[in-house]
Amino acid sequence: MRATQSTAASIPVLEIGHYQKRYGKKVAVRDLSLTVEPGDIYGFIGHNGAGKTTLIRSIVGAQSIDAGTVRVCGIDVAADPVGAKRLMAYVPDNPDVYEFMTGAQYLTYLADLFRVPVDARRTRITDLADRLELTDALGDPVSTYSHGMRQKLVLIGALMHEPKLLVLDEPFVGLDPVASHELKAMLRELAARGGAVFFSSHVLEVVEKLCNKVAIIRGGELLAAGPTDTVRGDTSLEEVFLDLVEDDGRAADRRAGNPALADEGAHGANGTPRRPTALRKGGE
Amino acid sequence: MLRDFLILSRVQLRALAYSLAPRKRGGGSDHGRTLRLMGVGVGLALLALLAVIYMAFVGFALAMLGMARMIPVAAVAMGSLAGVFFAFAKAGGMLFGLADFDHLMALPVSRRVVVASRLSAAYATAIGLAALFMVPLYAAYFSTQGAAAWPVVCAVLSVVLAPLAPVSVAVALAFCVQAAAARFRHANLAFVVFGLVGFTAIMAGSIAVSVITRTADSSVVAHAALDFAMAAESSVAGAYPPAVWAADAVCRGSVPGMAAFTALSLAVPALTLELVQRNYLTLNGVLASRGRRKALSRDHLGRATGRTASPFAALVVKELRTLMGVPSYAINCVFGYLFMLLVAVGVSVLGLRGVLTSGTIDGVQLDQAVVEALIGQITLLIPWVFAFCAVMSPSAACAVSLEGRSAWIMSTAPVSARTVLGAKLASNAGPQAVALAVSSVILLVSGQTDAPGALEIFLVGLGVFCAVIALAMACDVRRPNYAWSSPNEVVKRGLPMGVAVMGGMILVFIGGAVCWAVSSAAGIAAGHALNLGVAAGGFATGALVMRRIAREPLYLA
Repeated sequence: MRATQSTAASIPVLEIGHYQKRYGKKVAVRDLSLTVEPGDIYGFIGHNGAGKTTLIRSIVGAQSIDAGTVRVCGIDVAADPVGAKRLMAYVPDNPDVYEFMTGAQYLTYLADLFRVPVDARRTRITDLADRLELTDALGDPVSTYSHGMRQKLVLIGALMHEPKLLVLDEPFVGLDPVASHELKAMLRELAARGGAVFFSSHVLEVVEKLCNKVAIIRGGELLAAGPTDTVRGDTSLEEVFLDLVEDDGRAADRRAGNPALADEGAHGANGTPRRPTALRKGGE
Repeated sequence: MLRDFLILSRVQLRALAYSLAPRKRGGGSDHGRTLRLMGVGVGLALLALLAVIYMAFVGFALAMLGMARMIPVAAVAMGSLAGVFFAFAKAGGMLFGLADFDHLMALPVSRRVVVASRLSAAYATAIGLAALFMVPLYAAYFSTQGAAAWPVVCAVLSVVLAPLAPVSVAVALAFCVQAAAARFRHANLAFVVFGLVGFTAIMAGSIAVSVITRTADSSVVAHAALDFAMAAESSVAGAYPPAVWAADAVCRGSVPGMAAFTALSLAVPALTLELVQRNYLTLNGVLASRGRRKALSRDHLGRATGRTASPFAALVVKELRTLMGVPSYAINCVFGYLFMLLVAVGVSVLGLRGVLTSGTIDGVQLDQAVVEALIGQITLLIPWVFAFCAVMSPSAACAVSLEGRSAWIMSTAPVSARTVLGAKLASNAGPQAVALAVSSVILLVSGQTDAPGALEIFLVGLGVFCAVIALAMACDVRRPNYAWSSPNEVVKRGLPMGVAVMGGMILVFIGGAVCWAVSSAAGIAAGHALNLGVAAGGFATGALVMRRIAREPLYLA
């Protein structure tokens, strides 16, 4: 029994090895490897178009993999997609859900697909809906929901089958402060149960406070990955991120205290940090 | 102002082109998109050509029957109605309840220009459709009645003006219906039911008229046609007087008639534009504010989520919910089931011999003796009639693309492609099988066929349907299009739907013709054997194709 538990614990929840994805001739993500262990809350940050959503979509099986492997609890996503999907859940950045269903119908539908037993689904749905303050609205068609309500609905659907791996793309966008607080608690609970969370975000403060591990990607290449404290060092995650993702020359200039760049690039008029040029480009 | 109008109009055109040929993630080739757009253009041009030929034929037929005076009234009436359905169907999404409403309203462009650009798309489409119907009719009229300059000018002007006022009314009506639908929980279902009841009434009425007219001899029919023409003209005059004003201008060069028609056709759209633009924010606010929500208690929620089903059953239920949740989709797809039942009831009530000699079927003019001589062979074609009805209802054909922006749910769900596609096929083939079975039983009970014949109807219909749907689904799986903004667009313009309906109809016509030829050459038994062989072949083809596409990557970008 103990040996089995030990083996299970040693298998990473998510293991990405030499992953590569191309769109036509353009390489979106190049030779990316990282590992997410049980109990991890892993933040994945990068500028728009860096390849975050590309990787996330491949992890959850929404996109093919050109090279490398993605394993969830030891199951190869490409070889056994159904088996891998049973163990994980996905919350996309745009929570587009069937508009003709009510919230309750959508959750029942997902519970059937994930084969959640009746008692468990009843308990989990009511508990999660109460925590996210969505119970009252679950009888209404999704077409009447706001963006935030759809986000909450998708979150309930994702957490309902107690996944081993929860993958989220910009999960805090559109959530009210209470729901945002609850979500952080839910992610911590999932990690505490031995699951793992892998999410992308542009909100570096949240990543810094919530995640025990972090990865930074630029132009499809992994620049840094590991425990948040190690990646951050003595500075803030934002500082590290800006240094890593900015063009080398700009970063050097900024580090050298170039006053022009300091004025227009690194800080706003009120002294608050401003996103670098790379973060303001294009959409993903 | 004009510049803003043109920019906004161009964006709409680009959105339409994009929905027809979306770019793939990461780019994709422009060449492929251009080819696809060209293919759509050629398809539309062919359809337009067919419409023009048909309308010209109708025009010349009316002139030959001595009903030339009906042509201009009919042309204006048809031109007026041409864009009404389009405007009614498209107003939601095009003018009201826009996905990009907030973005549009935040642009530094006057509201009048925004509304005008949106309305102009409806008017332009309506004018295009009106031209397809009206120009051939006018060509027939002037070539048989002679053409003078002023009536021709009036005719040309009427093509442009005729749709404007009715489209404006349709837009207003569409808003009212949408506002009501936003408040009632089962508005979609009511829309489907009323639509199908209306369709049934029209079909039953058409059959009744055909049956009644068959009882009269030819001179009575000719008199009846003239009486009908007079009655129709006065009906149009009563229902829509402007059509008669324009017809007067085209027939008799009436200047006051043309002036009144022009004034009305310009005033109503101008008034509509002004009314809509002044109340645009309020109108969209009304649509956005949904009816009072019924709060769900914990107990209710527990009961609502306490039912369980297998993934396959859950997927089937979801497909059926999609069908009933999108009225235009349902009406398009349920049409065939209803048509099938109407044919079964019609044949049972009138008798097969009665239907064949009634003239109800276009182009079929058989007398009693011929029918008796050929009844065995004709019976062989009945399964093909029902197969024709079956391929008119291919809701599963476009099912992969139908997921649209919600495709991520299916791509991350722990179910195999086989289960997903099987559920899509089952959700469509199940009701189809029920409709075929009920139709067969109706014919069996009414004595129009025997038990083997009823079984043949069921098997041929379902076999052909399964093959056609599987092939169309294969097209959709290979080239899914998740860029459609509504299921309505997938159904009306999606490639797999075209493959299923057009390909299915061609297959049915070829199958029927081969069956007729084989039975003529080798006897009735050979014809029945062929029908059963086709049914078996259909099931086998469907199964093989489904097996093949179940191995294709599904919902992967």
